[in-house]
Amino acid sequence: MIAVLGSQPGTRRSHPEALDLDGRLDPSVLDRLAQHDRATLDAALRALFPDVRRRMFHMLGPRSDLDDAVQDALVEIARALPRFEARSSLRTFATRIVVRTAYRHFGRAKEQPLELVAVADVVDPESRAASREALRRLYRCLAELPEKRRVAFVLCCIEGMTPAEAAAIEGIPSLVMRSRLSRARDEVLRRLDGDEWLTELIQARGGA
Amino acid sequence: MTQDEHTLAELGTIARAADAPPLSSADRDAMIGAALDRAELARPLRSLARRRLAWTAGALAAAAVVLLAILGSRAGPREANALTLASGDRVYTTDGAQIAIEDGSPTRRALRVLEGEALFDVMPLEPGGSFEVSTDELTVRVRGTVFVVERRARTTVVRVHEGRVEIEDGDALVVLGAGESYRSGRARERLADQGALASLGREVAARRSAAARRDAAGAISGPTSTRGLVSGEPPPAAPEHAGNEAAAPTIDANEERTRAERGSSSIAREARGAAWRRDGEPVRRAIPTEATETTSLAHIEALLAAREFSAALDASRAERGWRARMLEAHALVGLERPAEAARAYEDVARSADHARRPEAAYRAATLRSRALGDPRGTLAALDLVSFTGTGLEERALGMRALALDAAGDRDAASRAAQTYLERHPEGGLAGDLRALAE
Repeated sequence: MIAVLGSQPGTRRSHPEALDLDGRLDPSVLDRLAQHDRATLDAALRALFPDVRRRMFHMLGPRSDLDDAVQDALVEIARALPRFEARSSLRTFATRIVVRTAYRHFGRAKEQPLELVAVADVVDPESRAASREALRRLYRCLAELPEKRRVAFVLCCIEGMTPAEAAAIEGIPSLVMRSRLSRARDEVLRRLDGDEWLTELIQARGGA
Repeated sequence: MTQDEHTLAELGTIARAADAPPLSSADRDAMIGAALDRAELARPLRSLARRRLAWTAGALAAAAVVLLAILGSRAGPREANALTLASGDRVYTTDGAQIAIEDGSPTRRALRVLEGEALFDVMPLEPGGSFEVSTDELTVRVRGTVFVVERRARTTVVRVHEGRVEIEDGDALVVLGAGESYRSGRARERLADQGALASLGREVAARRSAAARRDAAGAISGPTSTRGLVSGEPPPAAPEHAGNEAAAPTIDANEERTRAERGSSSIAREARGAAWRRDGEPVRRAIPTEATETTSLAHIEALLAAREFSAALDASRAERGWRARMLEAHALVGLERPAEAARAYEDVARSADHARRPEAAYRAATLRSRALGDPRGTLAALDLVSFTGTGLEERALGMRALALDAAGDRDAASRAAQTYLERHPEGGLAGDLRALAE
């Protein structure tokens, strides 16, 4: 994603700039970040916001305090941006901070109550209601995992990262991430085993 | 696709497709504005005017502070609180110190001392790697050393116990060596107060020096060459990070020094046998002297230190012997060609002098695990040598356990993890391996 700073004359954002979240930033943008230029910091946070919120939602699941965690991550990103040296992409830089922030919120469970759905009620496996219920059950399961395995599962199985990419986010060797992921997958399957409703839903989706 | 794989794939699809609760643009703008305000509040004071910093719980949380707060009396040097980073670096602090880990990636480690005193025992870095510690007053950059950063009342003091650090203090750039101290805003000075972690720093530095002397006995070139495999770098093996004194290497140290001082006698022997006939006339090929070989390898080391990896690769391939092959591997790492580098290290592990084989095998295994994601290849590299009694024993054992687990051999992984925990209960990988040992 590329965000463009405003180019309206007379505004604080007087120079059109491309803020490439995945590529190299213009040196002038890095300079303004280092100088704590509010307009540049604001543009960076706006560009990152959808990613930050989506990733935090994947990390924590459906929780009423989601935006508290997002706020904490934004503060930390805003503090860290002046020291950003473009050794990684802006998106990777922000993702690391999101993951660190998520760790602090894992223990503060404020999850929505699980709505019981009888097996017989699942007539449409693609329905939004069915998907919401499946999501709740998944995150109830993830909440029981050790935090590091939970993060490994989210980054690789939900976010779609390779173990090497996820290891770079966490700052750990790839082998450690593979080990955590392998254990996380086993544990998720074990905990969801016997959940007839979820089993039927997944089978139905597979045949749809 | 198995049923389990299908289940996990479907769960991933459901989770990815789920939307976060909707948020208005006004709420989004408010969140961004609040984040900028709070970040501004926590900025360091530059003016002479004083105002109270609001160290709210939110600001502390935003700094990702790792608080090593221990109940009880003030910790002395031997009771300093210890934290081992995933990279193997160790951080020791006194009570109440506040440290923030800003970046913990394999190639860049960045920490911030917010308050108090912290001792850093830093692993030697690979090409392109960096380790830096910042305060609001200055930034310290190191290449593998032992040093202390103390911050109190907006003044930062840096004390170096081993190695060298580079300090960036505003516009000033200062290089500080072992035994030197630096106070922010006042340059180099001799400080009577050595700090609470002084004796621990001397102890850690002494262990590193002892390890460096053992490794120097197997130096790549003769005694006139640059130290270690890359100019200015301490030898890569860091046995002190095992948290205990490394067992003495199984090879006699005197024998190692004698080998080093004789230079690469094996290369000289190869060259002496290279005379051949051309056009019926005997042709005597120039025999590389010990001095010539030393000069060539030193030149390659200098190219590596200057990050001229392509030139270093070409030069190393023009030379024979396991030392040149090791430098070739380093150059390939710098050029981000991990598969070739791993093969080169493995060649060295098969052909090098005894003292250098574990290092080469470990480097190959590290590449196969980190860069190539190949657990079976990692295990094969580790199997090339025995690490028993070497400074790499702990890390090799931990890596083996993780590789076995990643390769699906759970029973063997559990046994390896148990062995690691028995020998190194406080090791850098103990946290992750406890889960494997269950």
